[in-house]
Amino acid sequence: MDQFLQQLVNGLTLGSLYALIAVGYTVVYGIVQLINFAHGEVFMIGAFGALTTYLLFFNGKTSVWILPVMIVGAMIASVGTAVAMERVAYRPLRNAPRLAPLITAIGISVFLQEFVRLFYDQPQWTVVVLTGLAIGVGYLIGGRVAKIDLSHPVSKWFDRAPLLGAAGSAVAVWVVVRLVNPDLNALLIVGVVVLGALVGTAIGWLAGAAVRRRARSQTPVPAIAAAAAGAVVIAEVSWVLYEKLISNVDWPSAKLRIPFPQIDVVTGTALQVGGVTIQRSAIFTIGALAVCSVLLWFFVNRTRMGRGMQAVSQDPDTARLMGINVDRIIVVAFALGAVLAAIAGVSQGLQNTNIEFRMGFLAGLKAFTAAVLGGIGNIFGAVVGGLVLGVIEAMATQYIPGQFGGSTWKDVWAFVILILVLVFRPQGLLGARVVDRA
Amino acid sequence: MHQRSVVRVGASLIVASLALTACGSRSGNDSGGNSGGSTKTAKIGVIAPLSGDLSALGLGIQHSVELAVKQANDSNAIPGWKLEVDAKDDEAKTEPGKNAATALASDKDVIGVVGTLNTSVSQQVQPVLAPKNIVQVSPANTGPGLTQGAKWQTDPKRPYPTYFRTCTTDAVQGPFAARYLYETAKITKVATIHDKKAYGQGLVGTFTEEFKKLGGQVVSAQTINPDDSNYQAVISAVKPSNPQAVYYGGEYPNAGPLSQQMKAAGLNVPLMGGDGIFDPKYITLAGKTSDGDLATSVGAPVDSLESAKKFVSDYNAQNYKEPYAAYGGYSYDAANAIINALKTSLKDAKDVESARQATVDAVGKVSFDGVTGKVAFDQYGDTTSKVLTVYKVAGGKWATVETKDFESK
Repeated sequence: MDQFLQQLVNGLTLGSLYALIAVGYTVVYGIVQLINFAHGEVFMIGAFGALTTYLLFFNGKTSVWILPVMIVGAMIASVGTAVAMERVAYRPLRNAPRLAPLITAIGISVFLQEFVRLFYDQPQWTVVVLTGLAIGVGYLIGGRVAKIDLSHPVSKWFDRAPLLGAAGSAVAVWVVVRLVNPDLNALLIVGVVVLGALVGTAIGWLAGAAVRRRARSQTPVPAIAAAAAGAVVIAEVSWVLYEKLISNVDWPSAKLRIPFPQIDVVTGTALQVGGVTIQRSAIFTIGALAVCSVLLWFFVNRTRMGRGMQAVSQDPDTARLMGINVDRIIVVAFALGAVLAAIAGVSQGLQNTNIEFRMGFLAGLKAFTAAVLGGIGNIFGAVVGGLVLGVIEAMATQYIPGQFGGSTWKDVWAFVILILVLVFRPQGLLGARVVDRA
Repeated sequence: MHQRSVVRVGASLIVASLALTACGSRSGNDSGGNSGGSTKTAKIGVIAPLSGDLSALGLGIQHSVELAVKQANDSNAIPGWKLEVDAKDDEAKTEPGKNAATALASDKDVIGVVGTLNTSVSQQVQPVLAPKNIVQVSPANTGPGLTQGAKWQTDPKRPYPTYFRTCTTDAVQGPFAARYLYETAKITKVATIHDKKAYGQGLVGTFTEEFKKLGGQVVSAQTINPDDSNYQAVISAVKPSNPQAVYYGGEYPNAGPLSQQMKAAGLNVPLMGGDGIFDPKYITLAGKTSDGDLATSVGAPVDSLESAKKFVSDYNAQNYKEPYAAYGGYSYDAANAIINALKTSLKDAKDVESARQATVDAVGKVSFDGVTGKVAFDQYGDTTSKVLTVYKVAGGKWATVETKDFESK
């Protein structure tokens, strides 16, 4: 009996992890009918985001209040990745044949894995990203000042040219001067920032003049100046951040497994309840799933945004006619999945005590299985499917005797159950019977 | 644009053809020069991972061989001959290893090869070198099948007479661990776990056999998947049988987390493994609770041996960029085994190719005191010295527990 309860606990722990990841697959599928195979990598990046936060701010400490900060760091990393992924890779393919985004997803997955493997111990790449970020922020500031809706469908590149030119060239001037002489004193730094802003404004104005004939509206000079100044200030600030913070950390190479920080309270000696050993990280994982499920239920059923999601999943075209911003709903769906994946990444790190760049592949595959098992498109199906899959795996290790038992065959039994469920209940455990879904 | 790609294809074709013919043309030049001079050239090849994750070990092998060859040349060990090292990268993978072996085998100046690091790579290298009678001495392969055939447990048969090695095998390592646990640590109940790969499975197999023979009890035998990183299910299956130790067959990337998760789950017994877990990275992965975990590794720790002091100081005097690493001493001994054999086989030889068979025979008969102990080979090509060491994690470091000669009973 103890053994049964023990494996039940193990299975629920494993299942909670699968469930947290599976929600991401199912939410995105429910809304855009896309199987986001890169979601496993979002989970992996969540774990690395938590590790990064730890190394940046708390290296060597173990108090429990670090954990929420790490989770926030993990969420920023994975939500950022998921949203960028949606914007760059999936949105342009929104109306493409179904196969195109699927292949893209696999491509993104490989890209993210290799990126983490090759560059995690080389923080120099963040400079490029921060520079891009500076240009982007400058552009947004300029757009805000000019009161132009830059993401309006009729905006063309020549509407954006003055602001982008201003922000880009301001940062370019700053980069050139800073690279020639990295050790400027404070006064000269101010000089460089002002110079960058001025040159940026001039170039932005020239760009505006060049495209004047075709532009929808004239971008005023103050807006151009704001874009240039904003970009160059952000560039300087992020450079200081890089020098003082990022480059001072000794980043471990992701080519090998990296030990995950051990936090008080949630890791350490296991608790004994009767004959059952319960790991502290297991309690964290199951608790996280419980809290997330409640919040998720509340979000989907009780908020405007959640009802918008339901509407889009039922009929995107009509939802758009009803005034729902479908693009934003899709971004929210990706972000929602990423938030849960980030929590799963942290709890996997705590449980397994190490993370690696490949961890997203197998976990993603299992979570996808869990989503299908529970009925893809149904959020609570994903939770149930994850738990069922985890428990089956644990029980198969314990109770199937002989040649076909043990942990060697646990995946086989998990997939056998999946096949059986799909044969007799193709829509999954909790899925509704839908005629046209593929 | 089109033209450029034509140029590119052409250039790569030229490079490829040069690479293919390089060996032939170079040795042609050499023989031309040799006919006039008094010294002839023989090459000792090295096949080891010189790039990638395991390059630290591979470069240590290369430099140790270079050191041995340099000393042989300086002391004019083989009158009339000059030795050269030709190091090839195998990236710790089978295909590049096979290509490296093919390149060396087609060079008629190559008399012997030191390598490889990985058992799996040697399986590809052996059949390439054997038909050309090029002797191969590995400093690091521990798979028993390389010298005693696939059915080494029941019907040992030497597959390639050209293959020798200076380190001991898993056939000795498993039983050695079993004896340490049973006789020294007084442990009678163990659980075994392995990762289903050739190395881990072999290690656990030989361990189990010896442990049962001694009178011990294997209370649970489990496996894990090398891709897994969560071992809760296995640990829960092992725990109720109350083992006093867990013997793990596999490498440190799985063993470290396994040890940590074992102890976090309340299974507070030492984990023991082979040379695959004997690495500082194991301790970083296993964390603070790894104190007391055990590992066996082949040979005595090089820096503790009296005979190795000279090697270490010579090596450091050469200012190589990389340290001699785990297999430096064995590589140095392997190279010296070949050099010692060459003293007899090359003495009256006209050219390298005709001396190859004699070299293979002579390597089988060498016997000298090397860095890691006595260097001599048995009828299978395995080293006769069966020295192993038990290490224990203490205070975040591997500490030597005991070094012992393994006697077969």
